[in-house]
Amino acid sequence: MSKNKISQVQLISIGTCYSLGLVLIAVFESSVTTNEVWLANMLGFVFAIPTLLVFFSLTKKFPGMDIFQMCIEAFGTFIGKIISAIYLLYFLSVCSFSLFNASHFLFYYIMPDTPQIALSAFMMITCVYCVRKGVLPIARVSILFLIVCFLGIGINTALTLIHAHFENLLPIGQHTLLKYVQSAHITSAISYGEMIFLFMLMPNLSEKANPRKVIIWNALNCFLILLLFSVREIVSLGPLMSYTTLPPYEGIRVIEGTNLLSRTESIFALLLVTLTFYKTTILFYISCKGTSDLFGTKTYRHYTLMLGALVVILTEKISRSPIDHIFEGTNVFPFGWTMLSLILPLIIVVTFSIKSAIKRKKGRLSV
Amino acid sequence: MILFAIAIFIVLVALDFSSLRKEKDKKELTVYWVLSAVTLVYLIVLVSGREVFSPSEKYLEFISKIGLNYANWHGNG
Repeated sequence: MSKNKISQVQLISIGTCYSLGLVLIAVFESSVTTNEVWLANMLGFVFAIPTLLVFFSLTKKFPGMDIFQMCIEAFGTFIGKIISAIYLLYFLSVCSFSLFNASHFLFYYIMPDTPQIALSAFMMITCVYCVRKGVLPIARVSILFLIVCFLGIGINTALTLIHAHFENLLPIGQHTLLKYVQSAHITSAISYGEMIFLFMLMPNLSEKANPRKVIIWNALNCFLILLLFSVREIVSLGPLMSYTTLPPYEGIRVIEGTNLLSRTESIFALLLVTLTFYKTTILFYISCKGTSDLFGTKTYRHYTLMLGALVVILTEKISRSPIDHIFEGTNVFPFGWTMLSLILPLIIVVTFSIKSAIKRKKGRLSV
Repeated sequence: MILFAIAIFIVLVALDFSSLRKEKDKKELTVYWVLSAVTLVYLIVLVSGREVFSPSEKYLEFISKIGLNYANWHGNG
């Protein structure tokens, strides 16, 4: 394997860490369908099939290219760069949301006397350090993070099962159809749609790797993670889950085994901070690389601190409160994210196919 | 507070610039100064307590304005 290439397993583990970081903190769908969120998650996978098919098509038509190169290839340099700039803003925004979630969790649950902006700034400085090291160390560490996280999740899930109330999973069919559609749409647009970040790492993927397998494995992992967490929250919290801003954490807090096993939420807090930090690092790397690609510079290393400062400032104002964040996440985000993860990639595929067909026709006529 | 924030910003500029100085590439320098200017403007607006322009917020506002908002569809605004 060449020096700067990441393997298929590494990219799958990056995607799984990303999904875990997303699922642990983004709990939009549980506020819509409460105890039936597991059902909505299954429906969400069905809703995500068109997105996954578009992703397959992108890997077939643009092998080894990132999303910026695909835009330029499909629309030409000028329009391609404009659409690339939109994607860059998208990645910067998702990075800011991720940093907001991580710093707000630390501020609200662990260090209430420390200003949130200070927590964001320190976390961002660490992200800058990691990003300057390049994508390879970030990819290598993902496997280690994944092992530790699965161990922690396993312990927490086993403890939750001691006091599980499986009757909380019933009754089903008590919401309106629109609520199920909304919840499934949230799952498909956010949990699966954000997998578009994988395309920014495709140029770093080794030649032996199969990008389609990476997408399939990440989608399956995401599905299993969503199902596990939704069932765990329902059986531990029941109707209480619609009253909390962070059900996965509150679900662990109610575990009371013996005196020896109390305060097990510290394991979860550690996992949450680790995974949201990892997710922020990946998104920040993509934003830095995207800025470098957009402006055609040799390296992104010179302005990582500047971009980091910009992300911290955006984080400070990106959401007024977690309640607002949940409201936007349940009502508006799914539409915005669908545009960027399904509609725009679909337009890229269709435009490229038409261009290729015209080229082929011209070629045949000239022969 | 403004002075403190600007002091931190100058340190960031100095740190990044020290690594860039060896490159002597005009394009790299231009991108670097543009990003620094944008960050400085954002920093001053943030510290002065005014509303910071957030592209994602405006994008989501636009999406909501064109009617793509589940809250409207549920009939409870």
